[in-house]
Amino acid sequence: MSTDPDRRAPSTGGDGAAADSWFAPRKRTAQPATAPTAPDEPAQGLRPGPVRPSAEHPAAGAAGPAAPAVPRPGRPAGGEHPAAPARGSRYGFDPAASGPEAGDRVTSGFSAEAGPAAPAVPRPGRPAGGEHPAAPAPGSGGSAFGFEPAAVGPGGFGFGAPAHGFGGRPSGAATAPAAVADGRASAASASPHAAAGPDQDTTVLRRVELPVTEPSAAAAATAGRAAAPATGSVSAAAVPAPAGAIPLQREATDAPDDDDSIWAPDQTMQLRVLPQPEAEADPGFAFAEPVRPGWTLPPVPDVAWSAAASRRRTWISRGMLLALLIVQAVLSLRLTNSAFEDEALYLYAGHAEIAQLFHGAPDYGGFASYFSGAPTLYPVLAAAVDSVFGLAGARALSLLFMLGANALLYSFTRRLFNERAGLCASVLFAFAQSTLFLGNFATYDAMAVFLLALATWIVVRTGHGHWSLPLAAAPVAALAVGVKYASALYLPTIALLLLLVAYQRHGVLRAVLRSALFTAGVGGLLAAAVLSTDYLAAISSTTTARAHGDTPTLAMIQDSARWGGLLFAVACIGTALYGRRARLSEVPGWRQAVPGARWRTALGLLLTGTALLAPAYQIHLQTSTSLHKHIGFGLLFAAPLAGVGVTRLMGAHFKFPQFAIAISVLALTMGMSQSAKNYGIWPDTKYLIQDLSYKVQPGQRWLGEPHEGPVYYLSGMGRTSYPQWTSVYYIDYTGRPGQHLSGIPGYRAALQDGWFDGVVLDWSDGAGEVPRAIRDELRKGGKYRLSSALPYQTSAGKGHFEVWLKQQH
Amino acid sequence: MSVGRRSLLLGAIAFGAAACAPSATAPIGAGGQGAAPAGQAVPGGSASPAAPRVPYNITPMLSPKKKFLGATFEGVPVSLAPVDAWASLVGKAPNLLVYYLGWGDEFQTDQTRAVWAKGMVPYIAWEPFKKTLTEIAAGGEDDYIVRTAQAIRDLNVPVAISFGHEMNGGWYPWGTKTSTAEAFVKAWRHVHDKFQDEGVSNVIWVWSPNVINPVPNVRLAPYYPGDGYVDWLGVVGYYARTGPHTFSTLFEPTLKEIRAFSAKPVLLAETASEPTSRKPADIADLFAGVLADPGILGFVWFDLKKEADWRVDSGPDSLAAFRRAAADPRIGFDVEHP
Repeated sequence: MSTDPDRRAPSTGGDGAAADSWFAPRKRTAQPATAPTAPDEPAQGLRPGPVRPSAEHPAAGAAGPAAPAVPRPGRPAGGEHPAAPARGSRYGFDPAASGPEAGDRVTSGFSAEAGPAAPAVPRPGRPAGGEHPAAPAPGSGGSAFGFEPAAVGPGGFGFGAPAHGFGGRPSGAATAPAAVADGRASAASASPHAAAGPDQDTTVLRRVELPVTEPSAAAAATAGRAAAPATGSVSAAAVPAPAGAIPLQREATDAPDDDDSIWAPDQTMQLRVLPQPEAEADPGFAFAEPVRPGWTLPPVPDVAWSAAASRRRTWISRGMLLALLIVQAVLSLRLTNSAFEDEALYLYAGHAEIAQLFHGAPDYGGFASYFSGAPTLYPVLAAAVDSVFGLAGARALSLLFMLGANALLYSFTRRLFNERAGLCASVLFAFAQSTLFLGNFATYDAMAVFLLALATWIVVRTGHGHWSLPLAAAPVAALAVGVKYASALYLPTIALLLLLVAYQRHGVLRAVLRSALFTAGVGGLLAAAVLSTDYLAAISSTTTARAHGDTPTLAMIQDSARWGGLLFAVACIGTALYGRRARLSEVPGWRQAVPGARWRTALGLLLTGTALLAPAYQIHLQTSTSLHKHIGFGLLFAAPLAGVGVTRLMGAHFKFPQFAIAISVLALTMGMSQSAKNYGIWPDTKYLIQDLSYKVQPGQRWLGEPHEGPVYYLSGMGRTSYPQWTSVYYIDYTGRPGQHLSGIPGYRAALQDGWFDGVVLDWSDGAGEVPRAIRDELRKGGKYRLSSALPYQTSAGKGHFEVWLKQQH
Repeated sequence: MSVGRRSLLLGAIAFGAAACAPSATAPIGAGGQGAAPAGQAVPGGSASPAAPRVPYNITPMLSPKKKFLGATFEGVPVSLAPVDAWASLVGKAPNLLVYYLGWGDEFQTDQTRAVWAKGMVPYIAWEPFKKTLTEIAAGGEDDYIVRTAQAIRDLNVPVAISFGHEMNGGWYPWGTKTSTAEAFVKAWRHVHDKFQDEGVSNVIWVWSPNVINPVPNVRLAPYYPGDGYVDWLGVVGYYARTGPHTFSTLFEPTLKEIRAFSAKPVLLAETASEPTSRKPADIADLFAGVLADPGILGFVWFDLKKEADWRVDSGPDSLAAFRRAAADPRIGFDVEHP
């Protein structure tokens, strides 16, 4: 048709008007098929005969043919009338694609839609019917031929294109009709029209009732709205007479009854066709996203993650910490041995203190005179637990203390640095042998570590806040010292830490004041405690003026390096690297206020250096007693910097995880083996207690090298009590009139006189002078006989317990 | 293949539990016995770690309420068949079996255990034939002593040991002709202390002199190591064809001398009667003497044919006499409940 420009010519003017008039309603995007029925200019669209296309407005010509889509001239169906367009819409008719639309499409331009439309459009000059893929529509059968010619005639403009678009290729139909309807693509749309060329003589518009169109329509409807109108249009279009194969043909002019007969199958069709999706407002032309209500995109961040605190961060870190604490608990509980003499002594002392404090029992034992912590604090607590849950319960209490200390370590490391450093610090601290050891050891060390950690946490937590808040740490720190006197060694660290933390926010003067206030608080509490008790002598004898030993310095340095060297070394690395660079996060745009280099160095030196306190002091005293425990106190403070060191060695984005893996594997293996070794260093008294349980009779006097264990275990059976036992450390023998014999002569005299009913000795190659003298006296004196020897093996060597009983004759 | 998260978790827990479960090879302190389990030889050392346990309590056996019925036979303890034969002869099973261990010979744990299992206290007469007492006291034999001590300790049943018996006679290499009382005491104490240092508490130390009658000039006191080193006094004396042949003349003088320096219980560690017409009477005299003295624990019948036929069944009268006397309920007891 477009090949016949003449045919378009007549329609130019009217079509243009029609285009204008259609334009307006089209803007109502939802307006469906009103367009096809242009009530005002039906005649133009329907006017048969050759039309001359206007040269200057070729598209108008295209629009003209679209007009034939209008079923009947003079049909009252207005633009808004639903009935008329309904036809189209029922077929999935898209007004935009409809023939009449072409008119306004013309006005809207050619370019954009031409692209998609073009492919479906046969080349100009080709007969649409023959080669057009749409024609041999599957399912349409021969009828397809029937309406190929529909393009013929005036209506042909509109339908030629729809025909092939719609024909048998539903998918293609979606685009094809658009192309057709878009008269704009004059060249493109021309082709179908050209195809219809041969039939252009046919001037009768026929409306075709095509059963065959149904499947096509259905397919088109499913495929896209654009095809449907084509169908509808086709049915309405003039089908040339030659298309006799089509069962039902009607003159386009048989308007009234046509309507019904047309609509009926449409309605039937509608039942089978899926609901048509709502028409797009502006398909493909504009990129302005329609704003859907209730849908807002958050602002896109620069990076996908951040160093800022968030709930997710917090809980992931806490989850990892929890897993770590479980590992720590398992590793601690793996250690097994009978009560060490200190554990037994403290527990027994606790029971004695409870008896004295709450039940008015006489004071005996003089625990306050030689304990290295206040006997009324930890021992009472542990004994209370022991009386309910036994030794395992008292040890579990220590485990809780150590787990709590580690959790607090994580927390204040997180506050000083960040979560990653906190977790790394916790890992290294958890794997340290001292931590694992103390976590299953019922002495006041675990409680003291916990209280120190708590005091440190309070200081870090409140150092930035109100001046009075850090004072809350004072009673905790004082209690730590009360629980274990040696904790005082770490008070300066806490005070200085408070100074550093407060300095960040409050400047030098106020920081110093706060630190001084804290120190004064602790000092005041301790002074009051010392004045109100008589522990000072014990403090001096067990802690400050402890007896000097003779352990070589080198051996103690080696021990310290084995037990804490790894953590300390990593802490040194952390100190150095943190001093050089403050940045703690690799997140781009990390903009936290970083402390100054001097502050960082001071913090690193303070915390890392604290790890040296205990070894240095014990080296000064030349005594290695409990060094494996005491070293853990300092590691608590050095751990944060060790955590920083590990994170720094790992690098940004975990670039070098092998460092962290190597360090943690080393720490784990060393911690496990060392803690087991240290936990197996005292002989298991299980069988000794079993043996003694029937040899020790109530009321008997016994001399014992390990006497704490027997007293603890056997007093629970009611077979003995603390005053009935004499240790190898002290004797004041008064069995001989007028004499006070102490030391080895005292033991010898007592054994010669048969003062003791039995003697327990721990015999190994390293036995001390007093046990040797006692054993010599036992052998040579003949008053006692070796009743049982119980071989044992410890991680340090072999030996055996000896139980000597006084001979009856 | 997909492993569920839950099964992964369970697997991890199981692995962790298994890794932490105490095992024999776990480190000491972590529920184990160290790298070398008990009973296995430690590489590079002779010492074997003892399995921890409560040692056998021999205290009640040191002075039992009833009398030991001891014996020794040819071929024990390799074979215990003579024990059964003898028990059927005399109508009562012995509860103490003496056998001899030459110095340097390995202590046979299995044989000793079998003796104990048969209801007899193993009594080992340890005879230092190959080494002098001085050598032993000087520590040259410590390896052997320690090895033996550990074997006996780990055996953990009562074992009576008489080291260098009849030291007051001159007929053994450790006797008066080639050694001295001081050397004997030193060697005794050395052996005893070595045992004690190894944690041996299941040995009954039997100081076993010969009756003084054949050697009247040898005083016993210098040979005595001290009450702290001795549990029993094992007097050796035979009812011989000639010489003292009553309990009072055969044993009393020796007992009297011993009581001057020790109140320890006495076991007649070797006795028998030569096959004479008075053998039944000797047997009756022996039983009467043993039962009469509360300080005497019992006797050991030397049931061998060595130089003479010392066996109980050397004659029917002897056997009848022994059988009759042994029927006394005060003779013999269950060693596990002394």
